[in-house]
Amino acid sequence: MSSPISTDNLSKAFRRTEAVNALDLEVPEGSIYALIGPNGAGKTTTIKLLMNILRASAGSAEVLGVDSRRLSPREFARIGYVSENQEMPEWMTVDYFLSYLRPFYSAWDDALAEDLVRQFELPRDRKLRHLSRGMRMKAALASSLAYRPELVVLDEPFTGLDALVRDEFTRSLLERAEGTTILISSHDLAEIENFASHVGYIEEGRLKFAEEMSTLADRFRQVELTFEAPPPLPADWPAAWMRPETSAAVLRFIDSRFDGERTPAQIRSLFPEARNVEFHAMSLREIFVALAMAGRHAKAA
Amino acid sequence: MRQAIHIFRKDARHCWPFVAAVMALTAVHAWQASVDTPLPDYYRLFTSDSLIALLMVLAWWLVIGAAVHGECLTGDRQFWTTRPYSWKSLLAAKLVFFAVFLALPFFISDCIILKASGFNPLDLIPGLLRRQCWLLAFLVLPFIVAALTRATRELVLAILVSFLAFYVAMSVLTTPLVNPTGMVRPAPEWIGVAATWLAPVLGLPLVVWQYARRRTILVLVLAIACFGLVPVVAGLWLRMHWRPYPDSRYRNVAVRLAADPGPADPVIAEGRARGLIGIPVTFNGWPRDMMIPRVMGAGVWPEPKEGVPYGSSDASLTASSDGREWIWVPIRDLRYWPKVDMAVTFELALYDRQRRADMFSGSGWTRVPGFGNVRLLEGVGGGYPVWRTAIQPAELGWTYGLRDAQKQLASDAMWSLVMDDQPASPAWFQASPVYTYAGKFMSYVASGAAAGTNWGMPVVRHPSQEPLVFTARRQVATFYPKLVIPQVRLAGYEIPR
Amino acid sequence: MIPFRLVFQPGVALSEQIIYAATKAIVSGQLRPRDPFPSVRALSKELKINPNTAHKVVMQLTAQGLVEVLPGIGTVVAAALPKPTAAARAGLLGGEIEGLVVEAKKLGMQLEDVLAAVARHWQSLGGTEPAQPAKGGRKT
Repeated sequence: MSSPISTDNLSKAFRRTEAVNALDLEVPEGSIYALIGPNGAGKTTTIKLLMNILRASAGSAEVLGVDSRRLSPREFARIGYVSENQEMPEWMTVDYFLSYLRPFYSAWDDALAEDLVRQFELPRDRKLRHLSRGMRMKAALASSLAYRPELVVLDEPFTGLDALVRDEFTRSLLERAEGTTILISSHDLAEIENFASHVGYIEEGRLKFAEEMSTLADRFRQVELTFEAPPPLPADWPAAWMRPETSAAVLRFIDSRFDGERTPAQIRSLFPEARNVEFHAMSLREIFVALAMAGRHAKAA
Repeated sequence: MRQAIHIFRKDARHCWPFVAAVMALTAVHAWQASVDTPLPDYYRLFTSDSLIALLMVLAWWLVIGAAVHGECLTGDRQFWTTRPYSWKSLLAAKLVFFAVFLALPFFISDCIILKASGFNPLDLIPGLLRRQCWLLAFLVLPFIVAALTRATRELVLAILVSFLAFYVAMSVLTTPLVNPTGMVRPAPEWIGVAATWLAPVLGLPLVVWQYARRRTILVLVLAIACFGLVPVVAGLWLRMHWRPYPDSRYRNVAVRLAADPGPADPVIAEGRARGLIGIPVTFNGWPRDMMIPRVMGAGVWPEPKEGVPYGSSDASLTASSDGREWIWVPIRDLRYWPKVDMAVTFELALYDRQRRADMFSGSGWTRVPGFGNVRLLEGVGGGYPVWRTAIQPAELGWTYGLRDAQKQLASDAMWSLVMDDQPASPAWFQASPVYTYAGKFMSYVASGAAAGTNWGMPVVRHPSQEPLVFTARRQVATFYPKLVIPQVRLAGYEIPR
Repeated sequence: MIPFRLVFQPGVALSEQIIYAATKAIVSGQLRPRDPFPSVRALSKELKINPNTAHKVVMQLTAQGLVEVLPGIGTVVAAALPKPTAAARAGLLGGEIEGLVVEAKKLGMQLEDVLAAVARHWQSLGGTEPAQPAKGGRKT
């Protein structure tokens, strides 16, 4: 069973900048894959490459078993794509938009479309250009779920949406998520933390890491050491420990390779004088901030 | 192609204002062109029927833009590129749209105009289809421009730029050519036709490619090459190989002119200083009635050479009743110099006799096979002819000799029917399928007050009963001979009192 | 709607937290036998979690005998609940107890002080009926 999305050395250069650089991405079937990273990291570009909206400068990508450059109507009938920067035919009403798209999809389910419209409370006779941003995204999502696609690709779908709309969006998506592969790129980490099964972190066009959400959560810990007086930082500071901060009697840092047995031992050997050691789990948002900041410092260095 | 029809219906729904504008303008154009205008106006561009045609063309451009931009092909934000659109269905949908809302109304308007001008559309189906091909060729440019742009304002900008470029290209191609004898002739229309056809023939594959692959930058570069460089380069190459003679078989006909000034030659004096000197001339090498000479100009060099030479474009050619022909050259100071040298330049057209038909005057349209419909309209002092052809313009180079069967026309003149200048629109394709020309009757009168080339009208009595015999001559070659007349002894001329 | 309260904490697996909350609700009697229990889909939708996670939760609860899926009816709390042992109940409190111990150690308290504090709070809240749902229970 091949992955619905896999890339091989995918690269895209705009003039002189490498927006996407030798990306090897693999989205497992049935997963909900979160693509996260700082602004301008290349998430949107990656998705556009996958959807054949942009052409790669090097490397290749395979979507639903087909080279992304050869995506045909047959594949697009199984893909739902919603993006915050995709234009819609502004002159169509919601109703007309859906009925216009219907004949393009053999798997279109009228009852499901009805359901979605009702669930999202979309005004049927209003033109798309007169919809608020949230309504428009909901309409886009409705038009992309009504045919039960195997692969749903969402590019920053939550941008500019209020909390209620975000909620509706997520619920609707998850309601139909069984048997579907979802790739979602978002800055809304709190929202996606709970339902993403995999996460890929992109920075400056490179995939810094990609793993299951659970292992990510397992290996990041915020470590807090209490001392009488904090000692100087050791010369052989482990590379996996990030953002050390000291104040008064406390040394705090983030361990990105936490292991329940080895890490406490490592700490004990490096800081034998520590009075108290605490490990706190980190939310996805906290992990992201730590990574992004480390990335920025690395770039500046 | 159900998807194609589905997309077409969406386009029809969305673009209805533009479609309505095209329909309205086409209807007005059909009505205007059907109205019986006897004469083409020399200022055609400013009359309302040309304005309507221009607006109709503009509406075509805008409706093409509107339809194509419904599924815009450039950029990375379109809604349809991630939907199961088949590019073939999409392209087919646009073509169906153009067929139904552009080509069909145009076809109907053609039929209406033909019918109103006295032609039967059913006889001219191949010609009408040919005009549909011309329409398609004409519309490839806006199609490719729309396929490479994103919004109406880009389209309008591209229209202006491409019209400008096209105008420049056509000017380069059709500026009058200078031939070895120093005379200028306009470039034959087929150069412009070929250059214009070349662009669409190359443009259609580009449109298809853009729909299939959406490689905008590449297609844009190629489009500029096709529509700009290729016509210019092809045209320039063609110009270098152009021959000034319509029919090269006649190129080597030896046409000779001879002049024989003598003391008995006529002078028309206007006072003592100025006058017209008449010098007899003969034309040899071709049947005289199949040669039509036209004096381009005359140069006079006074002898001895301290005088000031001058040229004149008022030199003319007339025939006398005894069949002799005279060149009339204006001289400024008749008594001043004893001798002058003259050089008269001619444009000499050779003709072949081709066809004849009978024409009734003033009573509606006469069908002349191969030419179209001719009609004599009543005017002061007689009739003047109006010509109409369908689908194709009348071929240049025909002149028409006219003889009155009952010899009611003045018997000392052979009246020639010549066409006036071509109408302003390009000869190979115009908005109306009917081409209208006006002509004049021209005759040579040898003597008397009216001696010289006359533009006049034959007086025809009983217009509806007497047929005029109409013989057509086709120009097959053109020469530009120069007749040098040395040592004209002005003193030998008598000045009549 | 989800018939038990749940606030996600980072660090512990989601499925664990949900199973914990659901188990607590069932054991404490907040959910009675044969009460409707959210299906996998409903769990996923309402809690905004991955359906696989929801699936895992229901599987686990079913394996523990707390929940069963009846054809035609859906997911319900099991009719015959296994009797929770004292140790099991204590296990359910594991997280809170650990938190309490950590904080107490930070403040430098001794075990006896902690036990005395716990007894004091026990008395002031009154009653020992395990079946009553705590009404607006105050957190310390």
